[in-house]
Amino acid sequence: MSHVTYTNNDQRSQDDLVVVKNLKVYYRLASSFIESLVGRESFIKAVDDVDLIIKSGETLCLVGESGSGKTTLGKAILRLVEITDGKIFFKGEDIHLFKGEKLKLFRRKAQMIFQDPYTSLDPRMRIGDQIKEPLEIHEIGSRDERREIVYKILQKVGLTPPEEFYYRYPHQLSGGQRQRAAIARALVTGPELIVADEPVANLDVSARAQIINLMKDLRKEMRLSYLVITHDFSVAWELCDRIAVMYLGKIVEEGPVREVFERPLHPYTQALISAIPKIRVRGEKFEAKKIRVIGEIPSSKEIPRGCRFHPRCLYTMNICKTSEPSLIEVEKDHKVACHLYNIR
Amino acid sequence: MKTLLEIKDLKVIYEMGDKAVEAVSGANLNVRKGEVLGLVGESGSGKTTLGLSVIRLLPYNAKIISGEIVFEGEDLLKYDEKDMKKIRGRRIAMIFQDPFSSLNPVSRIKDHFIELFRSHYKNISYEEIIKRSRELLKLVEVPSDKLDSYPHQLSGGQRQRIAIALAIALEPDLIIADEPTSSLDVLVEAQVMELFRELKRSRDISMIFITHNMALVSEIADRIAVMYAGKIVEIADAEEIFINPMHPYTQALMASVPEVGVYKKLRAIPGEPPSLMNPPRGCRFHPRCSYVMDICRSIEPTLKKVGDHYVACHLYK
Repeated sequence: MSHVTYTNNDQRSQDDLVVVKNLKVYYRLASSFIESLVGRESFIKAVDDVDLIIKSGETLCLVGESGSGKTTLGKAILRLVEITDGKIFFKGEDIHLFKGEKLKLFRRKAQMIFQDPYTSLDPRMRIGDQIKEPLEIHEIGSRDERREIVYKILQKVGLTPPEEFYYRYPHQLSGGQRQRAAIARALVTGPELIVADEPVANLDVSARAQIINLMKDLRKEMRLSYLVITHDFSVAWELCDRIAVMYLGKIVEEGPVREVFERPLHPYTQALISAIPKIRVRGEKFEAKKIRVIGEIPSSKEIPRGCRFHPRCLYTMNICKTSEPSLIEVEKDHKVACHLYNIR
Repeated sequence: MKTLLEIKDLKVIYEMGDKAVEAVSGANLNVRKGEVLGLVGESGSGKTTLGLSVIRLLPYNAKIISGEIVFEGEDLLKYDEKDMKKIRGRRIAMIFQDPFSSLNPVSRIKDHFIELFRSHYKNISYEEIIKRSRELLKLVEVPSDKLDSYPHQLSGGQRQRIAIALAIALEPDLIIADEPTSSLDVLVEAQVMELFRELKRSRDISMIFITHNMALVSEIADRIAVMYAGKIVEIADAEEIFINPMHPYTQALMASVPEVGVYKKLRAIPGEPPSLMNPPRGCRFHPRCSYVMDICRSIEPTLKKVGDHYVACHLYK
């Protein structure tokens, strides 16, 4: 088992860019001296046995409340966190077997955009130099070519004239412009996969629409695949092809965006979708929303037994308290992990 | 409906070294008894500054340079700090975006109530405060044993519920809520919004609800005022403004908000909001407006009544 890939055992279809298999990421909590003596340690199970596929050219959204593990899953796919168990394949190859040049190539092909463009850019470095840095690390182009590449990418993300933005510092840019610069830096190495963690959450309404439209255009133009992590359903609706809903480290539902929004299957997804604020227009009486969920998300230190959602679910059955449902396909491409759909 | 609060020609500046930034430039706005007024705008539009001016909690470098804030017949701007202390909490209360920073991390929840009640009622007994606090916690659906907890022991939603309980504790006439749900997850947000609506029904509170979220504000507001670059550009009934937005900025804002279940082409507003250090001449929105005319570049439009709306735009004569 030195070099296991999907290409060998023929499970991978040609258009799967990323395949996640039984992934677990646990964070160890600081335990007391006594606890470590008796071997009792506690963990936060941020990602707990997740299977996921990102197809080439698609935009997959991970949605969920804070603490659901969506950011950890995104970072694991980029090999930015230590995983506890499971495997992640990028174009059929196990990313944890990558070393040296191969790892460097992977870093070049899989990039990240962060939530806060105020902290993800270096405040003391010119925008152009920050975008050029990955080119130097990956030894792409000659000195003069690099400058041309940076100008081109600045143009592409709408920071024009590029000759001017090249010499600016982050504090001279608005929030929307900074996020454009961060996108430029992620794209300059010619990646195939972009993990975008709440890419518009820190932006104002008007900059938000600009960045969403920019990401859509770039996807087409540069043949990108996105994994977008968001808590905002309107962003998922606007930007994504497929959606995966996470709850306490598990994917509870997965399917095409429209399908999931129009016919959510999991009681948790149903609750989330019924909670989305909607613009009310004249004649439409506002109906008191039934918030179809009990209480708040528990701490991931104390994950409930059985189905993790059962203490908050309105349809809890006996089986939910003891056995954990697995993610099964109940309709074409629409998967759900809930005992309600498990009755044969 | 009777007018509870009337803001007349309010101007607020921030002093930055030897420069001044005009955050609110001549705002006129009123709040009627029993209504929720939604104040919508992007960051830097002046909506928070406007809210803080009413309760007079502006930062030290801010100055109200002109205008009146008439609250039940009295101009609050004539009040000194001692008078304002009697108003705050008792007659006007504020709810902030982040309940983690608006609660004192080293005080238990009950200490917050004790401080609040004691600062307004000298002779109130400890037992009375605890009794009232329990009732308030019941109203906002937080278990009453949380009175002995510290803020960090509560969830985000519970903290914001406590902040709401503190705001309504002395039955104020007006509540100013500044992005009260922005730091909450969607389910908790919906629960807190339901609590606001319940309070609106049962207690007939008047509220200024400040937010950047159009959909959220449409679920609670009776009337909506839209701010852009320190100016109020449009005021109309909540149900009306979404169907028939009149100001080009309101229209552009609506077209740029993605809505779940609505198939539309997302149209972003071109450019960036202006710097308030050096706002554009004429109409402040003119560099981004698709209907710009010559007059817009030189003359600033004032807020005029057009049909059922108040709108500040040269398109409407």
